[in-house]
Amino acid sequence: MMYGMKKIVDHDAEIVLPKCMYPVKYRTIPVGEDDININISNQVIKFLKGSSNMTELEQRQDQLLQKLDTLYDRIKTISLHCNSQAVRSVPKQVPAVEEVVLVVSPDNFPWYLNYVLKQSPVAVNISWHVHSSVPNEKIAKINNLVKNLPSLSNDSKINIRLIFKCVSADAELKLSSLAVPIVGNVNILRYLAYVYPSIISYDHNDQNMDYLLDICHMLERTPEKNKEALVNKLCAQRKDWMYGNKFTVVDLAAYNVFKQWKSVPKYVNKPWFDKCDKLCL
Amino acid sequence: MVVSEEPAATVEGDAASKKAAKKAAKAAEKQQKKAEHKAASGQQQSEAPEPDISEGRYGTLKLIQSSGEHRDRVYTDVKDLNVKLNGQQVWVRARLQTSRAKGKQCFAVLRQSSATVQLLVNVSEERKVSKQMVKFTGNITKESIIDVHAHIVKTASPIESCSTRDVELLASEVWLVSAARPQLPLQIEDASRPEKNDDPEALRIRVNQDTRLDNRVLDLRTPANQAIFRLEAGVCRLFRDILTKRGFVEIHTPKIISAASEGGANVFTVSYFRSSAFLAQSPQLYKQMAIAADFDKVFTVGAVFRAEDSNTHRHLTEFVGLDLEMSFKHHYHEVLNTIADTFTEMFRGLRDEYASEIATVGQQFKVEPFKFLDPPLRLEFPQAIQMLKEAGVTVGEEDDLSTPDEKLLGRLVRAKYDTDFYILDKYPLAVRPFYTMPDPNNPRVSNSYDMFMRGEEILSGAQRIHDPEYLTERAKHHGIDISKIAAYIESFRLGCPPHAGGGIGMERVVMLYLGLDNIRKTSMFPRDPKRVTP
Repeated sequence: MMYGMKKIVDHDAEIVLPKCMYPVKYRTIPVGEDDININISNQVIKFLKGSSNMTELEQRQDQLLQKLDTLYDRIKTISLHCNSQAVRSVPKQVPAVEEVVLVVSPDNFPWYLNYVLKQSPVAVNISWHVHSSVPNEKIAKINNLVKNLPSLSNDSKINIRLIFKCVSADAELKLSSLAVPIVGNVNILRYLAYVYPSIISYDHNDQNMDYLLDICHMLERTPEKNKEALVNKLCAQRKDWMYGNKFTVVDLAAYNVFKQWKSVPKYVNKPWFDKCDKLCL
Repeated sequence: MVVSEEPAATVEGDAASKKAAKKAAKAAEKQQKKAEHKAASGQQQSEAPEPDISEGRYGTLKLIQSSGEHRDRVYTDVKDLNVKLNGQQVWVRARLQTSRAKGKQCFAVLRQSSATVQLLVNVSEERKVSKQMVKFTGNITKESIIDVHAHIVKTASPIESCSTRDVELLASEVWLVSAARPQLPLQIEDASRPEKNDDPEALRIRVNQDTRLDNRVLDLRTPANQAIFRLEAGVCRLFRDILTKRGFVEIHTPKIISAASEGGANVFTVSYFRSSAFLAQSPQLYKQMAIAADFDKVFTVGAVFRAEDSNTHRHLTEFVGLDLEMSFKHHYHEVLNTIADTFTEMFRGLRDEYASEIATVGQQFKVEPFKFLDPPLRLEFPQAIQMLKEAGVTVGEEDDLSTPDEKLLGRLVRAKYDTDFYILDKYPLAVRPFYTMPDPNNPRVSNSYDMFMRGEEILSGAQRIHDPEYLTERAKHHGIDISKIAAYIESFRLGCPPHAGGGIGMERVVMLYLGLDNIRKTSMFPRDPKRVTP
């Protein structure tokens, strides 16, 4: 022979001649794979994979990777156990937000802010800005409103930026650029009650409380003639405070609305209003 | 009139020659008809020569060479024409924007910088206006300067197409002062058309930027451009006035310098007698030398040359830089707050004093009002990284912000704080030049800051190192050849107070304040890698 070549396809295998003309597959009995009929592509792949060394290495590699995976899972479960033990002892907290923006109109100052700043267990930094949409005439009014706010302290971790803007009437609380802002003083108070459960008492399961809060929300927007009827509805359950015997979020919301009006009308209970004034100013 | 017939050259075949012959025949017919018509009208004219009653009340004015005539004449500005002057006779010198003559009447629109008024020339015995005068007015080329003596007349209904709506001018004398050539390279009407028009029937002809820049003289006459450059003048004026009130001194620094100040790559070289010199990249060195020379607070307004081969919407090779430098007592925030307050006052000044210019620009380009906070918003670099991380973009603690990062940050700040202007303080030291003072509490952070408008950087500044030994050390750390900056370091050996400052590009500030899309719109005769004229 002139040129000897390696056998790629083995033709020396015995060819089994069929005994029947047209074989039909068994429909009922499952057929197993025929070991003899290794088709050409499989043979080529086997050849290309080369000697058994490579395949061995690959198999070992796969095993090692599997072991790594199981180890990783184990470590993860262990760490979870550790964490959960630590977490159990700390009370549930709202995730710490670094900086919060409160957008208000200079005509509607949020009077509940003073109360929160005074009572907050963690030091809160408050800074304020005037937006370019505010006309120059209102700047003096704004200066008057902010002179009672506490000055900056360097060691607090929570910052509130108060921005006075003359665009929409509703106050907005923005927690991050990507989240939807909380709109409306009453909703902001609901959020603050969630953050400071010890300072502002709010039971979100109490539908009566929510009903009174909704009346406060409506009071902010209602025309002059409907105000008295709404206030009477609001005060219907009043005892020492607006709802029950302690200072709740309803008192804060109602006080905020009345304080924003130009003058406090006669149908608002004066002793209650004075009590709120003392707490908030 | 000689009729010259030149039949088209018959080159290819009979078909061509047939066509040519047809064409020639048609042309001949046309000429014949014209000649006949002329003969007929010529006859009419020769029969009755009309006397011109407006003789001596219109025509081309003799070249004004300051001969001393008409010095007592009082001219009224077009923007001052209103109903209060109804019935008076005034002299007006303005440009003829458009004219439309029909028989016995000619309507024209006169323009003086941004104000336009309608002019009516109609045949009338008592005002001595003849048909020839009407024809003369109709034939004046667009953009020519004319002198008009006219009555101010209240109009029955307001004229929508002019800025002066309730009065119009009724001419009695029309004189041509300076003629413009008949074929203008671009039409002012096309150049002033708004970019986006909701009216489906409006013409869609616009002039593209290259044509505008090649014929800048014509392009600058559009009302929007007049407003933009008056606003730019306002920015410079406010910058000067605000800083002068705060005790700053204006200085003028040299533009031909011997050694490149910052990075040597982006400087222009000029041949300087037997050697060469460079065009100043920034007045940084000289501002600092002025501080060391006891000027305390300085600012400079002058040209800045950057040989950057960047063909973008916000880069020019030559622009006007507004730079300032100030010495402080204990903390560089004294300077930062001064710069920030200057900006706030400038924005307020533009909003209050240039409202009509901003509105005029808004008629052609989409302009969104510029929002800012007082006092200005100041964020620190770690806060910015946190905001970007929340939005899904990771920036390392010691990395600089790329342009897309800056733009995204601008949008995030706008969403949260509703401001187009903010300051980013405490940049990482690794990305700032060698003369930036490091933060004493954290060696990886520097006392440097950037200011942004609409998400694009407009100012880069810092506290400078004023100690020569420390400066040498930092320069070595950056691998800079000390011999090249020996003179710079020397100026600090003579006692220098702590100081900080920054510089802004005037064109960029105007572009970003108005929200325009290209810096060439705010540079009167822009220079970029591909343009050196006009």
